[in-house]
Amino acid sequence: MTLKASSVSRRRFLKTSSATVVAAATCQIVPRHVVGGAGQTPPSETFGGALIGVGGRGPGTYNGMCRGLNVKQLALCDVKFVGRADNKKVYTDFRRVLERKDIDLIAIATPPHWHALISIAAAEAGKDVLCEKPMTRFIAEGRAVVNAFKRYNRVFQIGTFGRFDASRDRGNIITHKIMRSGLLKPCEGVHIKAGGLKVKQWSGDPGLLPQSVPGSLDWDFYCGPSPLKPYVRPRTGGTHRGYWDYEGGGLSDMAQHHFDPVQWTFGKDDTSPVEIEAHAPPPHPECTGMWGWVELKYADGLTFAMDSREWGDRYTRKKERGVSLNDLSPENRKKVEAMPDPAKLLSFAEAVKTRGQAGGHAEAAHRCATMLHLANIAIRVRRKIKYDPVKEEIIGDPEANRFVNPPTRAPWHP
Amino acid sequence: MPNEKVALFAAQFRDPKDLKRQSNPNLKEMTAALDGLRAMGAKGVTGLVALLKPDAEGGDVHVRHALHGQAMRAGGWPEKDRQVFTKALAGTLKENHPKSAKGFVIRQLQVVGGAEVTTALGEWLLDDELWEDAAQALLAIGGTADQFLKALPKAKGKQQLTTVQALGVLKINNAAERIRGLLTSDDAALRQVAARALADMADTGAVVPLLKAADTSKGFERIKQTGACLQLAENLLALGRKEEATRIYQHLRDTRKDPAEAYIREAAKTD
Repeated sequence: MTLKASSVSRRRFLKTSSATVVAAATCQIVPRHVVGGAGQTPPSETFGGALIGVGGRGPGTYNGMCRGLNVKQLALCDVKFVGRADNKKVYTDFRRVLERKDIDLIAIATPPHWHALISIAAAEAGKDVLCEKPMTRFIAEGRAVVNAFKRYNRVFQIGTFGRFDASRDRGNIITHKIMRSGLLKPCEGVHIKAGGLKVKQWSGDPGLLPQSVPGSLDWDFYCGPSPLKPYVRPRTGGTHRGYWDYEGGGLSDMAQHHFDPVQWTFGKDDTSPVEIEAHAPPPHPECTGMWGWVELKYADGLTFAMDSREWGDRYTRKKERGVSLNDLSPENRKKVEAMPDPAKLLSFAEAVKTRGQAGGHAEAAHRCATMLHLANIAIRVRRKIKYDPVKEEIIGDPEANRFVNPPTRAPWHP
Repeated sequence: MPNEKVALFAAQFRDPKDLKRQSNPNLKEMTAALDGLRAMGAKGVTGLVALLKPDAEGGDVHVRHALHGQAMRAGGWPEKDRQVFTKALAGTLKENHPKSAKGFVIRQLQVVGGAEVTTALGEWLLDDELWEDAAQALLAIGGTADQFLKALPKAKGKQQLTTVQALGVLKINNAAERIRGLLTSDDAALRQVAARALADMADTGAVVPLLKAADTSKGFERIKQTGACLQLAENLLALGRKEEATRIYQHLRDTRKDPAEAYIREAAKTD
């Protein structure tokens, strides 16, 4: 099932959500844990839901979480609700939301520097999560999310759904089987994403002087695990994408949409590229900026490339090339044809109901986010980097490796 | 005294067409400027730092861009050249520059500094404005436990939080006994940071106090302290300390009877 973006406006969503929250407070919801059992399904099939981060993507993410489920919205949470929070229905502190036992499902649509920490805390609190993309701000916190959801056996679904359609396409299924068979060595496949990565649009604005923090915003909480910098408005409200402290520009944001289904098709949900190289100018310390192209190679030879078409040289090293059964020997072709099709991907709703693994699960989302983070690291260090997909470390370049697991501000720690 | 030659090089980082969005950086000019600055050695570094302005004043976007661009390049230089860069950078922390400029310098040392600058950075761990920048730089460089252990006895408030978390991240258990004492602090954030640090350190002495902390806390703190117990058990198992790990799992299975904590009982199953 592909979940389409909501057409509900943010203002309308917040208005109706507030009404829903009030209504929910007046009728008792039986939390699913009350009846227990393997699936922990409540008698009413009704789940308590909460949205953390109600800005731009909030409504779409929340509605995506609810699709196929009967969800009563019990809480809205945002650090910009200072002076408005009642800690019953409206919150500024996600921790107060997560400690509520009547809430089962959490939609996270904060800026990405909070995604991992809130996801992990939600898993620790026994909640299932649908988290807006990009999954993380850096690689190591993705692994921490994977570990947390495994430890607590909770459902995680990333907020991009292209892989559900991709996984039903016959051609993609064949490519997936070829790649997963491990019989295609070396793999000469090349996939190029040219344009559409909003590089200029979501680059930062470095020339601003500090501004007064709005009274409705808890700026320290907003910064959270990221460095506490002087407030300037573009660091919030969608344009946060252009600041390294919170995200990685249009590349991080848009490329998870594009590469998540591609990663499934090419069977790379459990590994990462091993060589990454970029064409980019010297990076700015605070803001994401322009870049030309990035090339990412997997151990089997498969190559993904991103061509910004917005700055510098075009990517010309390789041409787009698919993978087909004709690439295999007759004997290996028969082996692939005899392979069963991959299992159907479960939607978030199906995963919640059956306690299975959602199609856009934490490991897959982490591997896709890793690809984007490696691309951004190569853009920033401007030298070829080599990556160990098992240890999840950059090899032989300790300075570049510092971007894999940068320190976070206490008390926040993934 | 600002160096005119350095200022000219830094000016290459301005984009006259669209500085605001950095939409059209000129790679050739920027590269030539960085090469020129590198050829100046330490003076190319100190000259740039002298051009940094306080955050509240601004007008130094190009200088910051040039200095950071060079720091990112220096990570790929031969070790001797990298150290010329980082030592010159660290040396400016002793000079009379604005605090926010020093913070920027420290953040550049975070991306390119090595063991040669850790003592200089350690001196800022108890600074009222720059302790977080210094801590993050030291954590990124790694092998810096001595700096945090030295700061721990004097660190208060948020500095103490930062220092305790850092010791956990570095997995240094020299201070474990002291940190165990923080599990009963009046500060909830400190109690949670201490618990996580002890778990990260795989401190065997923390098994009993950590379980007690998790048992007696409520709300979100109970969630986090229980999480720290499970993390500690995993880390102990990884070190072959099966007995202590089993004790944690068994305790959580025996005590989490509320249906709302059934998932904790499940997580504490070792089979």
